[in-house]
Amino acid sequence: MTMRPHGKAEPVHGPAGQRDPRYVRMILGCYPPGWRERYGEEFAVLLTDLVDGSPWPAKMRLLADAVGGGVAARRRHNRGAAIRGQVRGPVTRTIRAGKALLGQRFIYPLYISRLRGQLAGGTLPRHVGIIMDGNRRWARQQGLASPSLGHKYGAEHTEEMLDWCERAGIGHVTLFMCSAENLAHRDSDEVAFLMRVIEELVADRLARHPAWQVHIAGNLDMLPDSTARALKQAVEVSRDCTTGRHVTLAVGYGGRQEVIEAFRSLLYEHAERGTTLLELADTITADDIARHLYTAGQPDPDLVIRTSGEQRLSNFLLWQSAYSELYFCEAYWPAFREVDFLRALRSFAARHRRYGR
Amino acid sequence: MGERTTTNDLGRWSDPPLLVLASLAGGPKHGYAITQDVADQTGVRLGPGTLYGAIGRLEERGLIEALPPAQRRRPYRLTSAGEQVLADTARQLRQVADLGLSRLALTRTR
Repeated sequence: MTMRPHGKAEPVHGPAGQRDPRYVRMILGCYPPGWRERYGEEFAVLLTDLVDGSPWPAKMRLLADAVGGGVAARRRHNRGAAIRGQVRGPVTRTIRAGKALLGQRFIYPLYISRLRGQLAGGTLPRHVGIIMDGNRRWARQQGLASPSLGHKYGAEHTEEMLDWCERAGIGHVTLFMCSAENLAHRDSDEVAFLMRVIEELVADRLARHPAWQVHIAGNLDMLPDSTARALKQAVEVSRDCTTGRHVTLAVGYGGRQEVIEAFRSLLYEHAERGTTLLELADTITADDIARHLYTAGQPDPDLVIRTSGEQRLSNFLLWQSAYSELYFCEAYWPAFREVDFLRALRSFAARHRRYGR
Repeated sequence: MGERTTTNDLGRWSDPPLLVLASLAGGPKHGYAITQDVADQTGVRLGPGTLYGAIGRLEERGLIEALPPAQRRRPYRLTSAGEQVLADTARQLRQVADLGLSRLALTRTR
């Protein structure tokens, strides 16, 4: 290899491993780890050389350029990772890496704390149901390789959602993750992917450090064995969770199917006792059905949030949502932020609840 | 030497990848040598983030390749694909430059 001579004297550097100045290490921290591994050494040397040989105003420009390169590299890295389906870490970091730091660091938190202030002392829903809609549309909008990848982001987002609920003081959450109709009608690859994503979420996040007691709503028989097993295990592991918080995962769930199953189960119960159909017809009440629903023992949802702008219940908690306030949000599920959630709670607090009266 | 900063909004003339390609066309260089060469030849000061953004993209597309590092510095050289791209782009730029210059000459003589 021949190096072409050039006019300027080259600064001399010690061998590899020499400790770089603090500002260099800080700037390297702006770059994604894979990038640092590949270019970190040479970049540190270059940055030190350039900064050392420049007057002050030029130093600032160099540093700004170096940080800007980090933001761009992170954005490219995240986009690449998303396309390869190897998304690591919280979704927010991925999506927002390139967005204005100012808004992220200062304006957004200010707005959140203002919203929290507005909520203080207001009526909180005891139970929030969420129709997590728009994963695939979000993935398409983001230009991801496969719309199914949206499910992965969506599932990761679920964890954050639970944190927001915890912070807001909400004890019951039901998440509509996959409908019975999804299982029947989506193509088998996508369903298989969605199931794997749910398994991972349940095994890695919900079952490992149970901060929420997990309940299942849905027909486990319709699910792949591994998914059903992961869900049952999460229920088992979190059974003794003492936080008083309950999350119900609606997977392979349909509201009508649930009511039919509840009714069937009620009929079996009475058949065993020897009740006649006529006797049952005379005495049956709404509570008799409710006792046999998947959500038995939990309060009905006071608030149902649906993302992605669709204004339908789509067979979600059909029986239980009879008196629920409904809140529709334009954002697709993976892009649903804490501010959107807090706005939903604020809207709930502002509405006069009538219970059909 | 002019104190121009490189930004992408100045268009293709200051496109950092193109400047890097042009610089490496004169032989392999490491990062610092590229910035000095580009500054000497064109007056454009490539910032470190801009330079490595360009290096990353060029390497990814196989237009340049890394040589073994010496003293924590890694030189890069043009690949044959890189030579091709540089030649094509430079030719296009020359067409635009010729056009602009000839038309300007026309307006002046009028």
